[in-house]
Amino acid sequence: MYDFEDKFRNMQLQYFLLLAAALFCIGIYGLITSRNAVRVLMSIELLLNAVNLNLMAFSSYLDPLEIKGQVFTVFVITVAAAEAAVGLAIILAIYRNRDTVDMEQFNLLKW
Amino acid sequence: MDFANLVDQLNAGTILPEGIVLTTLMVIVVGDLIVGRSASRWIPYTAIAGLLAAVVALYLQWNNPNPISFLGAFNSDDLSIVFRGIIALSTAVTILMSIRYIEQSGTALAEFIGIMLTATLGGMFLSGASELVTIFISLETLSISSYLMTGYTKRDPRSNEAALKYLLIGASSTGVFLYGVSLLYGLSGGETQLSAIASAIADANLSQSLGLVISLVFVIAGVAFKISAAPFHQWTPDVYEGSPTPVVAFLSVGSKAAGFALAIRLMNSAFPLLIDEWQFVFTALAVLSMVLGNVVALAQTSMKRMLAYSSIGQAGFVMIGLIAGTEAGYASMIFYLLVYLFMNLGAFTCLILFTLRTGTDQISEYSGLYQKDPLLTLCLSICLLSLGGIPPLAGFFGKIYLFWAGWQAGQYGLVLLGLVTTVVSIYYYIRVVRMMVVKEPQEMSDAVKNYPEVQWNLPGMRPLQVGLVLTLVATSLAGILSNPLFTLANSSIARTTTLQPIVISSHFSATVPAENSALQTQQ
Repeated sequence: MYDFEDKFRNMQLQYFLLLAAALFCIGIYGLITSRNAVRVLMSIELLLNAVNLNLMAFSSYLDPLEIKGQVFTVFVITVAAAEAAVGLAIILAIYRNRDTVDMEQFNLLKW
Repeated sequence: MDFANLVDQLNAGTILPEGIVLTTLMVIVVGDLIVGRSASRWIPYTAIAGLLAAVVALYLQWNNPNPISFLGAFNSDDLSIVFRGIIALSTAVTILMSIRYIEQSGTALAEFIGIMLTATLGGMFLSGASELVTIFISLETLSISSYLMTGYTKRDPRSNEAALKYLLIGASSTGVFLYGVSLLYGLSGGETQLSAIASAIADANLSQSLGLVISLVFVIAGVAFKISAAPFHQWTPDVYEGSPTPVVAFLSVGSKAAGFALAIRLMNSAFPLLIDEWQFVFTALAVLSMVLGNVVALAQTSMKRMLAYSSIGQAGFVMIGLIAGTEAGYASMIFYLLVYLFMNLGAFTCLILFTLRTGTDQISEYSGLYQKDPLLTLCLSICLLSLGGIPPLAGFFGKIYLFWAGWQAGQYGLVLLGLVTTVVSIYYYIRVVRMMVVKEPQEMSDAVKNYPEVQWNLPGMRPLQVGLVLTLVATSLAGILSNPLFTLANSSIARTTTLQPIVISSHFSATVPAENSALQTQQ
């Protein structure tokens, strides 16, 4: 157990940042390619979780005393939950009216 | 006693205006719950009274000697006071015009006003926020309530679609913004206060690092979404067309003003070292917004969509003041936003009135309106001409001041482009005015032929009339009597300490390259 913690501490900050960047890119990719509105919402969650990972990594390596990044993460998680709730409510409303959640079908508004 | 002590320590008196808005919100929500449906008679007026009380409270805080509160999380300097005043006033006028509209659409009024006050609260906090977590929370308070308002008429598929598009694009732009913010937190070594971030980055000598540039670009993407600057504008026309018109009025004035307040504070406090870079990015945004907004507006057939593109173009004009980076530049931004508040809300009030009476918002349906409803024609003409910048209306002085400030700061190309696109914009504004005042009865559109008799005694019409006359008077008088607004804008900038060192640093960065080149020629 102790050994594991030691190894964890010796890991470089870069690995965490790279993981977060990869997660962020996957989120952007999902955002662009998804046709299902719920999947787009999930991709947005990925973006926000990449941010959380970044904040946690910075907080434990650079700011271990005041841990502002961890506090920030709590706020991001809370707001993400609120945003997902509103998003799902809107998707539900549109599903009742249109019987679909396919992004390509939403083309009433165009110039 | 402990509580009073805490309030004193946090300097919590600075958020008294927000406290008033929050109390009003509580009164409305609880009052609606207890009294029920009949509460909708007094609720809008309570909301307006609360907002006006908040404006009075803001006025009393003018020139506060100790603006920093909540351990540096909130800065209630004069700059933020002006922006909070603009947001509160725009909500008050928007509520005036929304009463009849919401009743006619058959949805609950109290909830709508509750959500709108929440959005106002978010915008007001955003104008003064000077710490990353506060910025994020207030930005999201504003955004999430805006998504809810956009989809408020939930049986209308167009409103649903607008809300979904707005939510998905808005949430992803928040994600991108937050990623930039998290990098900023890391690069500054764990600081969340904007001023501390700037000094930590300067100390660590990171001003040329790639990470900082990435974070700058990501943060600007988030801000540009809020002020709907091209190329982050794609949501604007769709949301403007689909959502209830009072919501559009709020989004185009209140929400946009909050975005500009965020842009000024964030760029000046957190990125003073990258001033050349952010000025470059904003120049690109301004050029794209002015050209795209004004040119695409020419081709629109729907009035709401035309005003959407026009608001993109207007955002481009306001950005000239931000890019100028001088005191005159910031003052001209505030002056223009103050004027824009009245003329744009006036245009939307007319739009709502016309839609309520005829049920359409096609530009071609406005032809011949002068013969049926002179007051509406007069008000819409004045507001549109003012938006276009025809003297002696308020918009003309706003544009002159912006362009003058840009010219003084040496942004010649940008100002010339602004002038050219203003001419383009005058064309599509005048087109509507010309259509309304045609003389021949056979050119009258079907909607105008069947125009109902003008009645002001229907429930909710009086407030709309008050809003109409108020914006009309403000738009026409603000041009001739612009001096008080001018003084207000100038003094708010002159007394804002956070903007002062920036003026110095922009001189600094302007002189350093010259010295460098002088050194090189010596060598």
